[in-house]
Amino acid sequence: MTQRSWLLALLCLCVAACAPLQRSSDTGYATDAGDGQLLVMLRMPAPHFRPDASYAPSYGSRAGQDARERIARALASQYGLRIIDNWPMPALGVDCFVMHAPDSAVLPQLVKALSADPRVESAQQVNLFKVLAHNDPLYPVQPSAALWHLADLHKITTGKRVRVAEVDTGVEVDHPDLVGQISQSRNFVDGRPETAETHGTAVAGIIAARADNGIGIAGVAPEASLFVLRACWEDEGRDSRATCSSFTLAKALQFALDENAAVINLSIGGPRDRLLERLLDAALGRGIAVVAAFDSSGGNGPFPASHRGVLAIAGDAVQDSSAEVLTAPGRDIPTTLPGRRWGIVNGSSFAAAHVTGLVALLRELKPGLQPAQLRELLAPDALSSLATDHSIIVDACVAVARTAGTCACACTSARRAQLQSP
Amino acid sequence: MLVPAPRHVALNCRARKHAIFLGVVGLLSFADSGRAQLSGTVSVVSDYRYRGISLSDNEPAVQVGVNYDDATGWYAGAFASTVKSAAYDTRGVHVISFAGYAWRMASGWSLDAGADYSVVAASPRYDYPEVYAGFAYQNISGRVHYAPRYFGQNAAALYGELNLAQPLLENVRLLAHVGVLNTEANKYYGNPSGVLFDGAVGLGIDWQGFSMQVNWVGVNHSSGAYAVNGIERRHGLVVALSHSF
Repeated sequence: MTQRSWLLALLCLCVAACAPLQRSSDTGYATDAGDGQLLVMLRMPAPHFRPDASYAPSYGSRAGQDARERIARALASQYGLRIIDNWPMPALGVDCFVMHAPDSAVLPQLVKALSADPRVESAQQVNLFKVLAHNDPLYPVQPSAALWHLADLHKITTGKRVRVAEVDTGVEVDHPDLVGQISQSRNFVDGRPETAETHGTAVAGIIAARADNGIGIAGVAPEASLFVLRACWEDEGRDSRATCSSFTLAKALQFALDENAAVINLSIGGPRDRLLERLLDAALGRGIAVVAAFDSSGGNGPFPASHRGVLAIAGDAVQDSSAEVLTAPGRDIPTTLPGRRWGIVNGSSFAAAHVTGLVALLRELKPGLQPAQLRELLAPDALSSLATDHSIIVDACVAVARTAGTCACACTSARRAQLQSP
Repeated sequence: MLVPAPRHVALNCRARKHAIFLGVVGLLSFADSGRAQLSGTVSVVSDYRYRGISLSDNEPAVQVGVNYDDATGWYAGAFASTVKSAAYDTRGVHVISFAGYAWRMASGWSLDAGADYSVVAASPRYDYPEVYAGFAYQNISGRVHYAPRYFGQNAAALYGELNLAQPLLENVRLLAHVGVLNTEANKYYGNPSGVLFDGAVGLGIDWQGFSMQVNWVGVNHSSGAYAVNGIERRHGLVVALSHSF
């Protein structure tokens, strides 16, 4: 090739790199419009030998993607749908297409018809989820970290380099108490610019706020490697109410799987969701601990806390539940808030964040701990049998002492741990 | 070094093999078309480098690939590229037909095993079968190929490769490849070690059905390797523009 040819090739390369990527056949995806939206999963074959894709083994390769887009267009045309977006989910071997049904469509029937189509791996409606939190400034300030003797625990473990994925609203990554604590920040909510939001920032602070910096609070796992994955967006106003969808959550979970997270925090609640169930099973199958907030009021739906293998966490004692729920500090929690502030928050979301941090502490001590073992460490059967209601209080000192095999906090806890050790 | 194609009965034999293969692919497509996915690429490359060595005399080549994926994990396909002999200035087509099985594991790893058959249409004596097995995990893949008579030579060949496609931006990937070919045939052509390394590093950009790859490709030895072509240039920049369908 001549020098001119090379320059032309490089120019094409630059133009292509700078051009915006059109991900779908349509734009204008309204992330908060769960109504009328469907998720249509098409099979994504396992990567394999292809002589025409010599150096492109990854999921990002276009090889095969166009075939699935062609099938999706045919399906959309046949069923009167409009393609909005798509996202490959190799953990499940599917390419997930978001499609919008016309107002006249009966969604359950449409889902049934699509599910029966041999080209479709599975189909479902888009569900909406809510973050589980409420602000209540009347509660007196009570540093919850003191309940777990955090300073003592941090002499043994700080969650160093344990990968924690927080799937939530946006986080203020340059908050003075979070600077340097966040390894990666990703936005999976299309159509809404990334911004600092209350719920996500509060959860991030509880998990991993910088310790010993002379300001604010100390996170439960201040040396964890925190990934903040925005899959939820604040509703009108800034009162920490927020919504997420099946699709945005699924994208964030797939990312957490790709990044080999050790713990995933889901401070959300909503209806059962088949796609998310499958992703959670994939995560649990890889030994990833999943911590979810349990909605004591039951107003938002039991999922994902109700999913088998997920650690269900409430901030208050649970009186009526078929699920085995653990209780952690969830009232009067001082934590980070957007605008370089700190404030008091309450709710199961923040109890779950505490346990997520605690799991990171345990995983630093024993990286190979499986989700079932973590469950036993956080809530020993001996304590479960003593519980008078459906909830068991997590004792961080006992959990760390049992994992480390040493005195963690006050030696009463250590002695208790020794007594409970098999 | 490439010998012009003698027109003998081997052509008919090869034609039959490919007809059978394509017939099987067509049958699979017809039998289960709803669950299957058929895809392909059409490409223009500035140089057809096969495992690091130019099969197009460092000139541009046109390539076509088709791939069939069954819902159960079986796959098959064919790839064709124009080739050119450096020594005899003859042109032809290199065809690789392949079939195998790939499956995902819960851990996120994928495994792949299969066989392929390589034909250089201009020179039927270089036909050879090959088996392979490999893995893929996220952005990395590796594969080992074994050919009992590599490019028709009376020598077996073992080829191992590792590939990386690391996303840099949403539609830009860093590409890297390293391969090692171990065959007695290398010694026939002046490479006494019998081992030839090849490598590539570059960028890949996907954009609305098109893909552009710019790779620096090279080998570590100026002699040896393929019966079909010598090594005129050990390394060089290769640009490929593909359209997938």
